[in-house]
Amino acid sequence: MSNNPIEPKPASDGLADELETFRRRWAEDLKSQKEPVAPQSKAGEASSSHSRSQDQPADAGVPVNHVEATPQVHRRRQSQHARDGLQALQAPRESRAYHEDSFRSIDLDSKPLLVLGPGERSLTQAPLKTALEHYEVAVELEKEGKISDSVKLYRKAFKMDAAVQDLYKQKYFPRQPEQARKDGPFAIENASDEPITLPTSELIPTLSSIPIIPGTEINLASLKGKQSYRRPPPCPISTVPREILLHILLKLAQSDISSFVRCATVCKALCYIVYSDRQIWKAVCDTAYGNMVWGTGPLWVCDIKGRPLPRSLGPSKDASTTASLTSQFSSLAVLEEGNQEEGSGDDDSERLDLPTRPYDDVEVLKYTASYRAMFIDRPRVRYNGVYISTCTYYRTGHPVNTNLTLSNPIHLVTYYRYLRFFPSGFVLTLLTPAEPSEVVHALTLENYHHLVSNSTSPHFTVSSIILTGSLTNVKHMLPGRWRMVFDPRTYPSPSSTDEPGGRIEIEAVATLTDDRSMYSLKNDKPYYFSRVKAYEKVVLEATG
Amino acid sequence: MAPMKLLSSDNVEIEVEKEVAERSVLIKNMLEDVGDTTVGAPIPIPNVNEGVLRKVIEWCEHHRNDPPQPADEDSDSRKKSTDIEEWDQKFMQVDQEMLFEIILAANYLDIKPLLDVGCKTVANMIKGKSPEEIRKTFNIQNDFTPEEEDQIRRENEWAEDR
Repeated sequence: MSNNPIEPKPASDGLADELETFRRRWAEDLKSQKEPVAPQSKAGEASSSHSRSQDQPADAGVPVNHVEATPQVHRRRQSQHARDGLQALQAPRESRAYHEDSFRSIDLDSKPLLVLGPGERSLTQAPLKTALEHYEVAVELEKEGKISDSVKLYRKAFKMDAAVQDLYKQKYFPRQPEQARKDGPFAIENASDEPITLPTSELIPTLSSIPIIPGTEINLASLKGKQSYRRPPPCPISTVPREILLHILLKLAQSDISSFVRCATVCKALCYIVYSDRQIWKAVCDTAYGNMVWGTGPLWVCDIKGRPLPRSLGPSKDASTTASLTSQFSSLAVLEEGNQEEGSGDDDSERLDLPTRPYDDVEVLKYTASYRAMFIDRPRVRYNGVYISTCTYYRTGHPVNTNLTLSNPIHLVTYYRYLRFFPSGFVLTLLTPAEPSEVVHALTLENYHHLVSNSTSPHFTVSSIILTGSLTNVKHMLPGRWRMVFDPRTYPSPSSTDEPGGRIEIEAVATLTDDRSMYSLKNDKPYYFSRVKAYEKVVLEATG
Repeated sequence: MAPMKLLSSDNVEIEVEKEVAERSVLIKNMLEDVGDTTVGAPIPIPNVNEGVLRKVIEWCEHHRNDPPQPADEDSDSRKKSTDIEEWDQKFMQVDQEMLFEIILAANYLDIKPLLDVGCKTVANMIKGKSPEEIRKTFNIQNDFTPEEEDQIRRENEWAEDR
């Protein structure tokens, strides 16, 4: 079946990857039709290979040896396969998606329709009789991605009974609101998550068509105005078309992802968009991963002092060329006079090429083609705050010379490592005992410039300079550069397990020796991220 | 500049300079299609009433000399911020019904920068608010059951800043 898996190409267009996913499915569907041996009975196998291909498409050749099995065994295997397929689809999500596993597993229980139990009718069994039965199987097939088979059955079902859809709805979705209440959170969870895995599920229409419902509570504050208290206040947002709502939410997501995600709890209509809209999440991912600095081998975007490196090959060391080539970094570039410690050979090797952009459209296949899942699970660097690692250790002190104490005092020493990343590839590092509240607002490029311009030696010995307030806390901050490391041989590839961006490399100037050193975060205590509102304007200017 | 007339949905004729009206891609294309033969006859704008149309024209007049938007969608999407220039901010200080009507009109008339400003304004009204505050701001009914709401909130806690 999938002996020659189609290698997905990174597409530049917005919808292209979606099309690619669809095309792959379709191609598999067609292949399974052409299969000479009992096309019907291969449903389970097709579905399992299909779901596997979603997880690891490069895994070539699902064995088809069970085709020779006797019909009886075959049938059992097939339903086994069907379940395997579902589990395969589920497993990687469960292991990784801490927040999704709860409803994922219940998903299967609450909707018996989704999985055939061992005793239940499977496709090869007794011929379908009623229109409803046809319809049910068609729905199953559609969920498995076997569109053409399912369409056949749909057609049959509708021929037998034109009102079959209503029957189906009555059977599986009786009294929608009550059921939703009874099932609690899971009903909505199924529905809202399904667009990602089952794009044509029965449930989407039921949720997607829920409008924003205007509130009926009379807002006391509005009574002062011209509104009559008998009339509920207007709710214009409930009347705008969906495309405009999407536009608004896109703007929101691009400027503040937390607020966008928070919209999911406002009402069902917004929840549906937050969970299912692909374009918004794609835009969010583009921003997040496109703005990270990717590199491998000798590739860096800036030198260790934050000066941008020329982005193309060329003999010209002309400052103006450099400036124009790197105009997008110029606002953040740390321009420092003198200090030409870069060896020229080093320079040349570093000017080889542009840093590679992440191929999101390939990577996303690892996350069941969901940009939302990718954004949640894939590591990313944030610029609107500081990464802080708290380190504490105990140190025994000298005995206090009084008769009252018998034991030695023990000091609890706390210090912090601060890291602030910039999209230019520059990073400020600071090791200090100063508390975060005293540091974070001072950890800025302006202050860094200030310190650098005031210091004559590269060691930033600023003791002679009178530092005002907050600047004293950050006087030891050091420049560095960072990049996301990836292996060019395995990236981009949807099957590679080597997570690009899982490692971050920082090259920094050591405090005393002024040596350059690669700095790994492996040995540090975990960093937590602290968002600093004051940074955001700067970040937006830099990325905008 | 040649003056021309627009006819609002409530049958009010509004005179406007051609250059200003052509901020609307819809009107611009329309004029190109029909040629200059029909100058004098008002162009009907059946979806927009007088008040909103005047407001939209006010915006177009102020922005008549703006450089054309880059056709490149990429450079546009790089504009992440919801920053709005001061004049536009003041312009958008209208009640919510008017705000959404301006957005709808901008969408219909195909005035992308105005649509963007309007959507950014709404986005800024959402930004930083709790779900309950958002509901209050826009008078949206909470159609979740408490369990549903709780579940969704817990599931989306990852996005909250600590």
